[in-house]
Amino acid sequence: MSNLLEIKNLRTHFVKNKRIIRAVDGIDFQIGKGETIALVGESGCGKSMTSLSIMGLVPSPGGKIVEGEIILDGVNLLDLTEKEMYGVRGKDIAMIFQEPMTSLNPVLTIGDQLTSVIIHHLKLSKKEANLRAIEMLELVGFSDPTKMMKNYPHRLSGGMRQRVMIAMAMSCNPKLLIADEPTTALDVTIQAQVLELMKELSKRFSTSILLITHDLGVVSELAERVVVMYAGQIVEIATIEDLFDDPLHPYTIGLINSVPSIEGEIKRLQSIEGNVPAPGSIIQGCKFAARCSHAFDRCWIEEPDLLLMDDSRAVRCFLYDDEEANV
Amino acid sequence: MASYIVRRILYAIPLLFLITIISFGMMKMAPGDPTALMMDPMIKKENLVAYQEAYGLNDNVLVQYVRWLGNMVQGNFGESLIRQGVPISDLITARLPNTLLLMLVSSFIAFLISIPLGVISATKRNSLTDYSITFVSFLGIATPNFWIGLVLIMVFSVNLGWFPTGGVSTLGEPFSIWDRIHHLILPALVLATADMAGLTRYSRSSMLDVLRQDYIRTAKANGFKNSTVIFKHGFRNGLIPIITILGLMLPSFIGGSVIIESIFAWPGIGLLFVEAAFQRDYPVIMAVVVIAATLVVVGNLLADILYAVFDPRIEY
Repeated sequence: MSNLLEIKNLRTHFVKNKRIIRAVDGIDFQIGKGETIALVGESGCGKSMTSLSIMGLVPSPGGKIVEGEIILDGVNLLDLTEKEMYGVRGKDIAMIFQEPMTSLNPVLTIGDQLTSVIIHHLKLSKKEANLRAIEMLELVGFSDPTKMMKNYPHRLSGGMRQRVMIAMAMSCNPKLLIADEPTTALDVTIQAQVLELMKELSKRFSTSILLITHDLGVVSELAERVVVMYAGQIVEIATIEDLFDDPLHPYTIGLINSVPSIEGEIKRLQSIEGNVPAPGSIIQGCKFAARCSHAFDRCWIEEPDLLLMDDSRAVRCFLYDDEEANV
Repeated sequence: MASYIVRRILYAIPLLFLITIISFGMMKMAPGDPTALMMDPMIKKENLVAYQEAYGLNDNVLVQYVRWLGNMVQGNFGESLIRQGVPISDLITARLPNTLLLMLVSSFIAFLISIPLGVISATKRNSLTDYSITFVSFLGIATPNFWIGLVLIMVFSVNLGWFPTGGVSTLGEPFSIWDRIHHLILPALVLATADMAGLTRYSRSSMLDVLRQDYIRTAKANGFKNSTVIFKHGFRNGLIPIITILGLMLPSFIGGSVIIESIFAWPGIGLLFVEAAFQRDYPVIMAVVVIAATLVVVGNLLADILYAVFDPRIEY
């Protein structure tokens, strides 16, 4: 599988009150063509900022990509001008957001919003764009798409709006769909529908998906590989099977243990002690050490590197360092 | 839509009714009665009583109010006490168009300048441009606009001689549009300054609020260029709260016109009101108060209707 997107040593920093916050602190990962990757972590771990960095929408002033490469189909997006990015956003990379209730423009009809994107990127006539929009709405499961075109967002439910967002995102055949917590704000039953829809569409159009979430249930539903982030860094990369069967990093183990299980015996729900380090705080050694039950002397002094275990597996923890094994 | 407008108009009626009660009540509470002004102070007591009787001033207050209201609804505001024999409705029809013209032009100027300034200020937030606009706005809020009027008259009319010092047209000359515009520029500009500063600040904060919204991020993520995002997706949303301000601005325009018309000798209802107040011309004062209040109510009504036009979330 060739890579669609390669992120190399990406660093996105924020300056707030003259302090530098390393929101994204040197991350590397790849997404294959047609592959679905999940980016997992607690709030504030830098996963949303990673997605905004890929889109070139890091909030400015304040935020800035200071280092790294984001290569989409052989082109480094960071080398493109803002004007060239207008042609990439919404066309090559589309995005759907966490808040379907507020992500659509309240004063424009669904039809207006869909067709304007289609006309902008595919250079179709108004009439053709209309047909395309209706086709997309039908595809995401609206039974009366023509009527839906004339509706305003406030008349739709959250699930319906998220489906409109998906229709909008998929309308220009993107190579990559970034879904930033697409189901967090939805009812559980609607969540399943939306996930099913994303799965189906990505297969149909062989679109790669970067799924950003903190919900491991959603991850197991959709993703093939998982990237776990903590405090702006990647702590573990694994296939979905490896991640749930044999999680390596103590943080990943903690995450999985904190999901209640329907099967098996009833036991007390576990949580990871402590909090995510405050953004901008300077920590010596491993960033997770303060919350880690396995932490030992070395963890407080040195910062572990991301260790490659095999082709599809990497972990940032001294427990798996050969040096330690030798001791 | 039509039923919504009708409903709004029906809501306005009790309000107007209340205004007439207050207007009438206040004048009734003022000391003296119209005969005190109309009659020769040396008039015989029994003649005075006869006059009061003839004018209906000895009737029950309620009867007087209903009589006044009934006449007014039919367009009869009574006669001026000072300019005896002149119907007030004539005074008003002569003066009201001038005031409406002044208000219309100055609100147009205010909107044309303030809204773009507010939008620029918001999009270039915390830049030198933003700070300059903010500084000038605060200066505008802090400066009384009659003072601006006087300074402009001194500089542009007295010293430079570019504009006339007052009036609606040059006396003795035939009607010409240019002459009218020439007379209109200074008073309209000064009246506009009253609300320009505030309006700029409102537009700025409204736009800032809109630019933070999720749908703006969506528009950006769809690859629209900045100007499209700001104008197509942002501006229409930012305009909604500004329409509310439009309704709120009308009273201040009417209040402002009282002062500005006096300074520029602009024969509108503001000036009529000032003259009437100084001369204790009660029926004129009452008529102007009722008309000004009606203008405000109508203005708010228009704002409400515009609101419904611009915001699809408002159900008729």
